[in-house]
Amino acid sequence: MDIKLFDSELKVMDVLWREGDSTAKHIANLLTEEVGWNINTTYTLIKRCIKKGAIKRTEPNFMCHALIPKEKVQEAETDELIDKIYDGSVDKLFSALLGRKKLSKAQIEKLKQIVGSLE
Amino acid sequence: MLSFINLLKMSFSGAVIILVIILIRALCMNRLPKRIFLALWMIALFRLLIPLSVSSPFSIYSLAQRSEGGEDILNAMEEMPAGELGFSTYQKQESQGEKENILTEDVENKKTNLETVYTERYSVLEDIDDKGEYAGEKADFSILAAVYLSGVVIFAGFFIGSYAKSCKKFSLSIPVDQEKAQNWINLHCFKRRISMRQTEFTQTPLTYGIISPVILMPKTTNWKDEKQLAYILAHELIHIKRFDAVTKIIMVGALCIHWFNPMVWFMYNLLNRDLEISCDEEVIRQFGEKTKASYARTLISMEEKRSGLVPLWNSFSKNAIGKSAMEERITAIMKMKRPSVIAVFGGMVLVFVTAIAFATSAIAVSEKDYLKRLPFEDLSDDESDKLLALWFEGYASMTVTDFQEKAWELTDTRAYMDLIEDFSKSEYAIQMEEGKEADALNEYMDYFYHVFEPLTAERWQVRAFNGIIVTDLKPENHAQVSWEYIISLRILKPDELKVGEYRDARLFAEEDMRSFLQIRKEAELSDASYLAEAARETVNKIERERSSEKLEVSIEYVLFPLEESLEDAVNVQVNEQWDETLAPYLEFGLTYEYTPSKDNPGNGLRMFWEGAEVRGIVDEERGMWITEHTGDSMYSEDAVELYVVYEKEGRRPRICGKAYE
Repeated sequence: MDIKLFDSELKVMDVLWREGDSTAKHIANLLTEEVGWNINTTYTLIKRCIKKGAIKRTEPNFMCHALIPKEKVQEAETDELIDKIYDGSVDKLFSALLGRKKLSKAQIEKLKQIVGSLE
Repeated sequence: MLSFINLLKMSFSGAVIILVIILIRALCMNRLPKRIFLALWMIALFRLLIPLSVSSPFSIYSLAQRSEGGEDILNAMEEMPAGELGFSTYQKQESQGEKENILTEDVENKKTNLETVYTERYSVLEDIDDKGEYAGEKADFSILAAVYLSGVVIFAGFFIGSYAKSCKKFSLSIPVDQEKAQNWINLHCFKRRISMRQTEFTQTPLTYGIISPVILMPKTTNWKDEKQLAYILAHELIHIKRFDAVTKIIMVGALCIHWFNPMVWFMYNLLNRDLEISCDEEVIRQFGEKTKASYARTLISMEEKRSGLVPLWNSFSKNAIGKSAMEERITAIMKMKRPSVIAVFGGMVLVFVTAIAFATSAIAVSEKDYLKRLPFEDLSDDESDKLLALWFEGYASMTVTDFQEKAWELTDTRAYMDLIEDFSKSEYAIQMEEGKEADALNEYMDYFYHVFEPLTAERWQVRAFNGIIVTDLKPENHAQVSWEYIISLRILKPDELKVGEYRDARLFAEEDMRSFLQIRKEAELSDASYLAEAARETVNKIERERSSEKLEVSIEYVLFPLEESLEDAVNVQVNEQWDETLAPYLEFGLTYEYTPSKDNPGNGLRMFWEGAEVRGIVDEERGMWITEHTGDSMYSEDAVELYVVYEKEGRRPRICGKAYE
């Protein structure tokens, strides 16, 4: 069974693969420096990895151990997941370059035409 | 509840502006610099959120006031429940005291007939009923308010939830390690620190954050395509520079507040579109007009890339009215050209005119404007005009001396003075239906009798104003307290005293007296000595408060505590009448008693003679039959009918009784 991990989760795994078994706190501190996440964010990610079966936690001190080797990890198919995750109102709350709706081929063709005709 | 009305006002005028902007947009979208539309949307936002308003004669609401149709609409809005003013259009310029409908009466002419006492007097102590009405309307209002507030909470919750969820996802983003992009950002100096990150959770570059903005790039970004990067970054940086994030949040805020207003939803959609389009405009401006096509194609290819996997048949992309957002955008980009001076200037004028016309409220209209003629039959138009001309604009702030000078100068002719004298002597009944005109007329009459005439009369230094206040205790035939008074105003410093102060001194003194009586409980009103004492104290206080070194106020009065009720008074009269009628027969042994009861006023007379009840007295000589009533069942069995017999000599009557058969 292949485990699918997001980029953010992969970053966490990266640390473990690099440093070996580490405490959650240690991972969090490293990532704060490298990536700029706050401690809570990292902890959330570690928990997600644990849930997905990529990390095992041992006590004391919340020790994390990578359960899977680097090679076995598959990048999550972001496309299918994004449809579920992408929030419709994002482009209204934030300044997004492109709109929310995906365009059909026909619509894209039409846009190309418009450019051509008005050039 | 005042603020709820204000909200509806704001929502309505906001909707009007939005409609106008939509029209302008439909007609001139590609002919005006896009920044104009942003400015217009700001006007709309301002109208939706800021309760302050500036009045201007050029406002469409001012114009509506003048036109008949508009006036009807504005009138309807003014009749909104809870008694508050619907629009700020009708602002009274003079003191609020004019609202009273008490008329000062010439007490010297008062008749003492009982009927007149109760029909001719006016009292203003009847507010209780009105308040009762308002209470009912206020109840409906709170259901409405509850629905409204829950709407606000729901929408706010939705948006805040969305925002928080997105931010949480974005926080998992990873910093971008691309030198060139970093360099580009550093080139543009920003006070705030801008970072660039990437995540798989977005398919389009976006920017978020206000204090430390972040440009979030999709994971699938082609970092080698420098041209594309340049466009993306330029676009996002412009958003950051313009604080568009703040604008969007304000828009969402307005949407939550005005969630019931469909025009605001349109605005939400269009404003966001226009933020993007004007950003594109700025990008083109930076890179040069020639890059239009290149920029447009970049956008399309980015769109293509992310939509690529969408199968042909899965193509419903709902178009809003007209073009889809992307179509509108691409078209706008391709049609962009360096704005001509005319376009820029025209745009600015448009913004200015829209702001003045739609964002301002109507000017205050004074009462005077509503009264064109005095509606009295025997006045000619010319006479009416002359009389109305006496109503000076801003009279309240003139000093008495200035006022008099102006008045005497104006009315210097014999004809004019005669007209005024005749007018003041005649008695006019005001027969107008309610409405602005009637109010204005009342105000004019009040002004004439209480301000103009007293101040311009020969003996203006001292003037007495009569009045009367009556309570309005229920039930209707209840006894009432009546308070007759004379307020004397003596002007001490006419060159300093303002006319408004003169008018208000009397008005407020009356009001104070009225409220004194209104507050009294019935027990207090019945206690004659208490009432007299309290009244005296109050009147002294009023005299002190309303007097000044410019004007002396003194009040004389007569206070009648609770009288017998009307019924009682009537009974007394009836009693007296019976006394008079039956007096001649008393010496013959007639006795009677009169005990009126509530159920049969007037009935209750019982006559007796020599031990028997008397049914009636027949006096043929006088042609009278004196009887209480003629029914059989009321009298005891041995009741008698009395006959008055006149002895031939001396014509002295005597009575002999006969049993009734």
